[in-house]
Amino acid sequence: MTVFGVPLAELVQLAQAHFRLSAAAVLLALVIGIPLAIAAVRNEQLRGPLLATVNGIQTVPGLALLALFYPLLLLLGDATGLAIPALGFLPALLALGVYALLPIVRNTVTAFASIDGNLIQAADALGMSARQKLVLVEFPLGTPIILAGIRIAAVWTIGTATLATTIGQPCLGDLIFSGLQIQDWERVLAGCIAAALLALLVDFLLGLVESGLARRSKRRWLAGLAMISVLLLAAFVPPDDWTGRSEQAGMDRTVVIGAKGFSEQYILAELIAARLEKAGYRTKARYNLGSSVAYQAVRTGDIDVYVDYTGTLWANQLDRGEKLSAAEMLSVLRRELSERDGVTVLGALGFENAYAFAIRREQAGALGIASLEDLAREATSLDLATDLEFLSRPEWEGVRDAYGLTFASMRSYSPTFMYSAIEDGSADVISAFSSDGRISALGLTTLPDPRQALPNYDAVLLLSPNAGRDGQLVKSLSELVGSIPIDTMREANWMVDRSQDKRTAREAASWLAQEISASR
Amino acid sequence: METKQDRRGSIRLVDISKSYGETEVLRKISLDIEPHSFVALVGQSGAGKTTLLKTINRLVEPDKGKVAIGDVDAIALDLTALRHSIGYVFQGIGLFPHMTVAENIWLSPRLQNLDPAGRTQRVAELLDMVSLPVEMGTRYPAQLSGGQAQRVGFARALAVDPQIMLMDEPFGALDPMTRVELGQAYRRLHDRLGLTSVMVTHDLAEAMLLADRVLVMEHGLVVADLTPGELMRAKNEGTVGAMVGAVRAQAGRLEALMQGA
Repeated sequence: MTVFGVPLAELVQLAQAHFRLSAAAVLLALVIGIPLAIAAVRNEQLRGPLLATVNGIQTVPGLALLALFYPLLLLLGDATGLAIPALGFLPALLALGVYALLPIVRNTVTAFASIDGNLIQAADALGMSARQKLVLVEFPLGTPIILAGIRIAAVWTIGTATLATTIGQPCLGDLIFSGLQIQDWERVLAGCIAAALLALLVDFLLGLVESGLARRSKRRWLAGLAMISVLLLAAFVPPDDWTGRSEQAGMDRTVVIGAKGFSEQYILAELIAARLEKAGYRTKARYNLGSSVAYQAVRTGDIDVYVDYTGTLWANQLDRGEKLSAAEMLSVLRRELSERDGVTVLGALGFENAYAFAIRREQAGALGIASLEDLAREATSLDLATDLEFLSRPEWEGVRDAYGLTFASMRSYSPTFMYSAIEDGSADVISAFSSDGRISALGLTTLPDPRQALPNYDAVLLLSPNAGRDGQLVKSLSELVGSIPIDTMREANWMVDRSQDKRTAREAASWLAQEISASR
Repeated sequence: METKQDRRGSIRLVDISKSYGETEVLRKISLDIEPHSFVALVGQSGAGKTTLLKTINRLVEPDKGKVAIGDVDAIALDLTALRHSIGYVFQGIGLFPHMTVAENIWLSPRLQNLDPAGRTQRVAELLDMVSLPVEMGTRYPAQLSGGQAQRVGFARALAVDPQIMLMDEPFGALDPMTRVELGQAYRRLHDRLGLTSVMVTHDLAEAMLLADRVLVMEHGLVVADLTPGELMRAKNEGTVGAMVGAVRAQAGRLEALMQGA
């Protein structure tokens, strides 16, 4: 059964993970926030700085906050030598927990500060201790306002939790982000609607508790609490068929597969998953990772395997700019990454996904642009659209300086919209990916790089230190090395990216698997 | 001869001073209050009446001076025990809105871990003591009239048999009829239970009608310490004279009305 084209089991599983994360984050915010708020009520000097701090946190965009916890935990792990997971649940929990502090702290402070002074005087005169006053007077009277704060925190958290996919935590955001990349709007909608329904449901149930307490209807607030508990329990019950991927008995090792946020990466991740599952492994996916995040994650073992590109590693990890042949580059990478980080470069898959400047074929003809040298001449009157990272990558500096490129304007898009931009004319040149099926489909041409300013971008399989020591895993994935020609990859990418007769990443991966075995 | 038992309701203040910043609210006040007496503190706003009252159960800690309750230094007493032994009623009443009348009344016993088995009977006794029907116990404070709420306030303060009752404008928020009725009802309770009562009021007539002894305060000092009768005959000069003059004028007019003027 599917909902908006998403298998129900997958949807349920993501919703469960989403709810577990959100509930844990709100709980964390309560455990930290309420004592802090009480301390701030008792101590006027603490109140201002505390409220300023939680307010300040709130002004940090949620996405940035999530991203910040990744290097923070990485640093902490390196400093303490402890195996602190820097991707997935922990950083997501911490970021969302901190984010949920504001409404809880603010409302608790307000709740306590707004209690009628006569009641406090009466409580003191009756000889209540500070603790008795808290339990018998301040909490019961403050509950409605505190609960309103918890409701706001819950709704915010469930919404913001969709961003947790960017640091590799499965959640309903997986559907939204991957749907966006592969232009599967039903998938995006499924993620949005599920997150919204979850938020509404939780808000309704907390509202039931709130109004139940206000009306002194024990039945009402108990019902609300009971249903919230049921929902929590439900979030821990595994759905019967696990997104169609059967769990193999006997293997206790789960291989975590990483993927950056675009179609080719999803397809390759599915291909790797299918192969490993055939070999008897259990697999788990961490999608939508940024380039540096993905590499750090494989280094620390937060993910076990992912596909990266030699040029990216060359510039970002080795910080090198000189040009070597593809084979030399691969061997340097293999040696250096292994020595420095214990990361295994298993081998090249067989195709290149280079950054390539692409322009509409007719425009290239009209302007007489046949290479990057020609482009440099015309660039000042052209608009450039890039993916989100290109302009901050060393490759851009390299190519810009080699040709003296200056564009009329430069904008960054998520890859899907970068193609839309050149399609609808809001951009003239894009930083395309050479393995992308959309290049020929949209009538674009890629410009040669005679000065060889852009490095090679051969797709390579990277393994974490642990995975690199697993003989069976290495053997199973070695079969993928050299097995995917550029045309095959382009076609698989196009299956997912086109708007007619669209395939899922998993379908494209199984087509790719057939092609690989047929050509062998 | 007084027994030791009888001294439990005594209050002794020695050289009590209190300032808030630059403002001296109490200036070296010394005072002896005998067990079972009914003392009223009168004076204008800002005279220090409420602050003085609150030093007795240490809702206000004096800067200097000593407080003795039943001949025991109040500082030496555990704060909780001290407050449990002193009933406190004030204009704001302070009934807890999330508790029923019965729960409010049973609070002190509950804080002292008294056996909840005795609750129903004790709450009924206390409601009867303040002339409220026992059914009132299940109501919430928001469902009470002002007079009923203050009766509950008295019941709550009396729940653990205090020897001393402190009252800060206890009838201040009530309509004149209720005010007189409740005042007289309290005076009867005071006599019946053998309480020591200290009441702050700005209404001199009320003080004279209810108390045995009236202390007039001004600028942090006790400027007169007289029985109501002595006060009524006081010279018509100074602050005291002015205050009493107004009462005398009222009384004179009322008497004239009664005689058919």
